[in-house]
Amino acid sequence: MKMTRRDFIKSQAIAAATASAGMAIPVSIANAADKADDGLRWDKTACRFCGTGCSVLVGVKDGKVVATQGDPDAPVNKGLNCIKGYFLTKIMYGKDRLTKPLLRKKDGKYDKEGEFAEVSWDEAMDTMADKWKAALKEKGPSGVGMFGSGQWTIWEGYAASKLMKAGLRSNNLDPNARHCMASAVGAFMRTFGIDEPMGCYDDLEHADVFVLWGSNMAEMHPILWSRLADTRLTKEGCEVHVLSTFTHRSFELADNGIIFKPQTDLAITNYIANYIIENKAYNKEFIDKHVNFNKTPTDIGYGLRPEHPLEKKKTGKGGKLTRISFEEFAEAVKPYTLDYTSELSGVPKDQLVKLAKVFADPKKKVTSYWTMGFNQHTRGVWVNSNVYNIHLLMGKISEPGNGPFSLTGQPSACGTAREVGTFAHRLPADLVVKKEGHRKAAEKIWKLPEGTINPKPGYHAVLMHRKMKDGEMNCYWQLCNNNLQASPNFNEESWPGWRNPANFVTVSDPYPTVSAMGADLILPTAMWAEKEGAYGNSERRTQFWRQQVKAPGESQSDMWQMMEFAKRFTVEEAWGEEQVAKMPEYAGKTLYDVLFENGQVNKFPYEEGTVKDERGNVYDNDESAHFGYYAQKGLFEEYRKFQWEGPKKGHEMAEYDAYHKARGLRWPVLDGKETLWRFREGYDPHVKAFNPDVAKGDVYFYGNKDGRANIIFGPYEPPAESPDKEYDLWLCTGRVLEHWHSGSMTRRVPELYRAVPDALVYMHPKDAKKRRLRSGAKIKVQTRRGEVLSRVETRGRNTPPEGLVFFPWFDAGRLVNKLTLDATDPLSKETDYKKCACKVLKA
Amino acid sequence: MSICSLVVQARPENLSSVSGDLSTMQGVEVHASSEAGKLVVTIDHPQREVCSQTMMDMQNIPGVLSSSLIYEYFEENPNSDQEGD
Repeated sequence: MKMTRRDFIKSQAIAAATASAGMAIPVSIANAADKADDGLRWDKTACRFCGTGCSVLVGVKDGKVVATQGDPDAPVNKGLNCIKGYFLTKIMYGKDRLTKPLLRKKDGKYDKEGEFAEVSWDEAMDTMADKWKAALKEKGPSGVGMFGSGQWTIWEGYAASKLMKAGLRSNNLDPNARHCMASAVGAFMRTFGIDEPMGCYDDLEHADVFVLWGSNMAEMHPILWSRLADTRLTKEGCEVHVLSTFTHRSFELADNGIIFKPQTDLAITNYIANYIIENKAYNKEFIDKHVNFNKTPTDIGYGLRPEHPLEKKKTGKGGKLTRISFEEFAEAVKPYTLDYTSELSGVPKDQLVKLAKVFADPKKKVTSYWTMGFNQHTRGVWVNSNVYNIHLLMGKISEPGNGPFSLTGQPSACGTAREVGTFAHRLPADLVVKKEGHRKAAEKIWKLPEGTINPKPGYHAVLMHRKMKDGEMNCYWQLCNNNLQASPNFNEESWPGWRNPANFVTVSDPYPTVSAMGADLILPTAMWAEKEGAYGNSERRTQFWRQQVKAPGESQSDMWQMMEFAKRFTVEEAWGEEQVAKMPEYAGKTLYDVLFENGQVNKFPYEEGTVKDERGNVYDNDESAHFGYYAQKGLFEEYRKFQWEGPKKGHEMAEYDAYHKARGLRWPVLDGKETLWRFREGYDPHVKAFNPDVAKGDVYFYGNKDGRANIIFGPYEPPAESPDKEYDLWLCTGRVLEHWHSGSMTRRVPELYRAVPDALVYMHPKDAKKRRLRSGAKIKVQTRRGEVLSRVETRGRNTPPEGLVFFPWFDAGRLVNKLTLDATDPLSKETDYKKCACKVLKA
Repeated sequence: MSICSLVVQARPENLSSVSGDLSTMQGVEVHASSEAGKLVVTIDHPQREVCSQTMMDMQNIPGVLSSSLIYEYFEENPNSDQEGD
């Protein structure tokens, strides 16, 4: 039989799908697929979207990506791809892609009130450098700031950290990950003394019970969801518990779908701890050996401006832990009885008991997952820790199928924001600016004169906007995210900050986003497969990809932009004469010279042909060609010094070239081997190194000095703003399947745009009826801070209970953050986007 | 030419109805299914927009828990599917 090219491609498609589904391939298809030669260059990449970290094969022909396939060799996605992954290649080819720097100008000169005009890179960067130098001179290092991203590649984040903290001596560097998982980080540090989950995605096949706490995995992490669904449908007795403040798609698979009143997750978690203790179900041996009990200061406010009435009222402060006994902890959770918790949370008693029982049953392996429901919470650090409390009481942790697991929303929230440490208080590899030893270690690796790194934490995301509004921080560079759309309280904080005449705002982006349009200078940016990159996903897996295609026009990667910007400052301008005098050999040099041509970053030569795959295909690396050395490799290898030579063990990664070969490796990578479950002997080699006497298979929480994890009692406290007579509904924001975050990429894919063009307000039919609204009616949503027009939806995939509306935030035309309150967790500084009070009126 | 393949995960008890619904969609063929509720599906349609719309619509078939894309090929040359050996 004669086979056409179409038949070949189709048989290849069927073969791939059949293999991914774990089914046998019909022989004729297998043969045809073997013969198919599609004339494409195939290579692996990491997906650009969520924190799952799927590996995607891309096929390139004539300089364009024309085919994609879920990577069958990838342990994360095993050949699968979600619907956003399907459109992955299209995100680079949006019609309104930016290709030239744009500066606001009037009469040929920069003017904040001017119109955007095309300028050269030199003019763009020189103008920007002038503004930054003026701010540094007037305000010092706190006068400038950079807002980065959990979507940055690892070396972009590392270059940013170096430029800001070593170069400009400013700790005003924060990532959009602050809005995403700062609370998770806070709780990891408090509980375990070291960041990131102990388990990995393999738990998806090992667990008997899955509990989703404030995570709509079906829509936000579809590939993990398909693995979870597979286990649920094939494993005898497997259960799924889903908790949320409204019903969403993950409830379709739920054996126990729990709708609770906003903020009462604090009470529910304490109820479970109480249930475990009252039924004497706790693992006494584990507690005695591996756990300390603590309490935390309470009534700590809501991270608002200090003059806000709620801040004046607070009686507690901060998060310093006080050691308590097991008995005191038991006493603290005692008020969280079934009656009280059911009453407060609105959850029927039988549902609460059903949930508590799976934790209390020593025979059931339980994996907990959560995302923004827990993290975007004014008590986010507490509630994260409350789940750790439950797992620790039972010893259900650090082994296959048993463990608490915080999922991330961005592809490299872990790999870049957290591990590199692009936060206002952090340095690479879990170090912090506050500790002298950590600063010294960083200065040594970076070859800086002593005392270069500023010991004071910089401004976090929300504080940056306040300081811009107040005119205290005058230069702001946002890269690889859309913070003007993402940040809370647009009308009162972010917008006035950005448009304050005293400020100069630069936005680096591939597209004219809300942020770009609100900026003074826009820099066109190379994205995803247009550069060599690396991401770190939720399960500590570091993945690399090679540059597949060229970026359009004059676009340049963020790494290129930051390194070029460094050329515009002398060390004297950036550090002052006194600091330079400590290392006279640096006198007269530029920041670029001392940060990047330091013998480490520029150590590896680059020429055409340096980047090759095992099949002999050669790939471009535009930045390395420009700088004359293998810049990504140099930055990564210098970063590795922090992991291997720094004061904190436990973050070790393999050498650069290993990652181009592997489908990612989960750190710590010791002797070339990845670590699947941390803190347990037999899985994690660090355990024996820290505690030579450890029993076989026992745990040791080596992030803390005494090897013990902290159980921390955090009570229920009310949210910053609750519905009242006038503003009578809860407003909850979030994401949808089709759009990723602020929609700056997915809204440029016509199919996704058509599928979900606008953000609708999901409302209970009774609430709609009370307001005489039909589904589809035009409405006004109002809060104390602003109003937004939309349409009401009473059907569809999200069904809120009475008293709550869900309004997604992807829509640039309906800015939900005009409504939100900039209340944050005082510990993690992460905004609570899930709770404020609103009213809905007919428009 | 636009061809893609997917694995659709249905609730096992809805397997036959989901399979039936899928077969009525434009350009869709169901090639295999398993007792656990998995279906191997291709979408083959000259217009990429139809393929992607179909993929979006699959998510909303009652009984579908998830759909995952496995392979996608897209070529603008309208004659390319005539080539072959």
